[in-house]
Amino acid sequence: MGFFLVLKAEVKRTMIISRRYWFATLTALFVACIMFTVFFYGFFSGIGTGMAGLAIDKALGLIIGIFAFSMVGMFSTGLAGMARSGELEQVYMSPHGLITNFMARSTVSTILSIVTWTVILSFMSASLQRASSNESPSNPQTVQAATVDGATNTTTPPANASTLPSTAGTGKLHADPLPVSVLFLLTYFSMTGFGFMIGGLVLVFKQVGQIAVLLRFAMMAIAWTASDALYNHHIILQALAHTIPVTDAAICLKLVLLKGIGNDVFTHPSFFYLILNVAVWTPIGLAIFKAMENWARGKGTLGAF
Amino acid sequence: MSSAAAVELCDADKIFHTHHFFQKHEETQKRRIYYKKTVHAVNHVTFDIRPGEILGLLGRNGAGKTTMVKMISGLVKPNSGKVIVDGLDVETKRLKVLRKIGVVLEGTRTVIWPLTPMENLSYFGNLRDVKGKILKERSKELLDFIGLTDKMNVEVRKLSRGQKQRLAICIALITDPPVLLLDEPTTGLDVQSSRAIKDKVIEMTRQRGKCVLVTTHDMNTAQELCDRIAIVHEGKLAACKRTEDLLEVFSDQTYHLRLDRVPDLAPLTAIPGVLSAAALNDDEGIGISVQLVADEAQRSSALYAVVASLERAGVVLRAINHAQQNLEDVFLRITNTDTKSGKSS
Repeated sequence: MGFFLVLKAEVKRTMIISRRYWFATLTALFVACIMFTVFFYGFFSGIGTGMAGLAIDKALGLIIGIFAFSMVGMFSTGLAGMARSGELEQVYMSPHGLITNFMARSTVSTILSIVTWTVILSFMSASLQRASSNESPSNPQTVQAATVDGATNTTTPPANASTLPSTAGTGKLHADPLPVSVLFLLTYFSMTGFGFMIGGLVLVFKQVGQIAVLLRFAMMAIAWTASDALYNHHIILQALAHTIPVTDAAICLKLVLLKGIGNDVFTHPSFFYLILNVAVWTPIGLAIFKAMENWARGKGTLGAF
Repeated sequence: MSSAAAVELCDADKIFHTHHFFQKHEETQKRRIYYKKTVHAVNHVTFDIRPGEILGLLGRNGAGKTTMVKMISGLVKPNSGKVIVDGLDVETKRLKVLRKIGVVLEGTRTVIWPLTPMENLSYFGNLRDVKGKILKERSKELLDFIGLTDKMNVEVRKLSRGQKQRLAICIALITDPPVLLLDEPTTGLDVQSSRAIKDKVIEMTRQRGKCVLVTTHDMNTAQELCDRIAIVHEGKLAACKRTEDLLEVFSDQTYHLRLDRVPDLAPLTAIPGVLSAAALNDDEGIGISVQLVADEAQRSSALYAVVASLERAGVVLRAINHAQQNLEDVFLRITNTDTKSGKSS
């Protein structure tokens, strides 16, 4: 009950601020849309690959990375900023507790991220496919982009097809509701659990915020490059990658959204690792956050940074 | 300790430890690889606040006032002792306690600047379980009470500091809590804003029966506003009395003697029962101010002895007045005495 009240308050606040500063909101969305499309289209056309699938694969990776980046950011630099401005003390004094408040805040930020990036990704996917279909079929590399989407018109594969990640599809997005919703939910919980752990540490050890910055960039890079080619690497590297919550989430989301494997994702090893991540990170994160919250009260650092 | 108290601090104690790496030591000024600093912020403090009462916590910067407020609001955990609000232990029933208190921390950090006062009240009301019609009605009533109705749809960032502070009080009152904690509510405000806040706090306490704790180092605010004053010095409670009793304590002991000239003060300070003697030179003329001991019999003998000594020195005595103390004098004397003796009075 408390969670929904806080959620309602947060949604209302976010909506009011977005509406009040509508120009900033629209500009940010517009700039992100244009930048993404121009960057990816320009980049992949420029190097001559002309592969919409690869472009969308990388864009989705980047978006998942940005989500992880902002989620960990909310629990590290965001939390530090709240401590500095006094907002953290106010939130702490709400009778629903800090954990409920942060769950609601992260939910709102996730929903916003999903809405924003879905718009951007759809826009980008549509423009890349339109651009690809307008290209002349005389260039075999552009044929790939233009025809694979048609599924039956297979022509000579391009010379560099082997460089495509196994998660890359045709550039078309497959929004299967069930697997996509399950994956989003699991990604949210694994990221929130991980975020709570970082946030708890930031409550007491303020310098953790600096390490979290590195971690955020690392997560973004992992999400950008993640594919099931990971399973070809050394077992230790695999184990390390699986402990980071964003790796398997990115692999699964790419397989569903880009490859369109649908419900088959539920039998993919990365899906099990993702569940394991949720099962491990959520209780660990919450336990660490609770313990650190108590410690921070003892040290009197809730309102200080 | 009264069982009817709305807030009770029972032997509350708080020690903060800070760890410093590669920094200059504050005392020796030598750089150290590591040193630990210990601050006894609240030193076994006991006091209570009753419903319908305004208690002022008075002290210098760093005396421990804000730590006490934070202990009551559950933001800081005491090392030992108990904090009870409306019969509930803050440590074990913190979330329930938070429904019974409204807190305004120092500055205007409570409010969200991009929102209007009405939206702020709606946001914080939702955070604190106040919903729907009750929330709307209470928000309007509070804004009307605090005098912000005409600003209810203006973004907070466009309001003056005094208006922000008044809004912060409204936010603290949105749950209609029986206990209100105000940490330096008038700091940095102009006379009018400060006056308005004081009036509202008094009105709220008298009309609505709230129990209010105010921390301040503004003596006028404390003297005008508070029913009782607790003076905090270096984490200890140096005094906790009704405001008039506190003023009375030292009024009894200081006398102004108006003379034709200022005599040698050394023989006067040697008289048993005389704590100090100082020259006076103000609008009422020249003379001396003598501070005597608290014990009435000793004080009387000392006063006779002072007059006799002045007569022997050939000084003309024109008048003897009982000195009127203000809170600032009392505060300075309590904290100075305390510093010298190292004890709480």
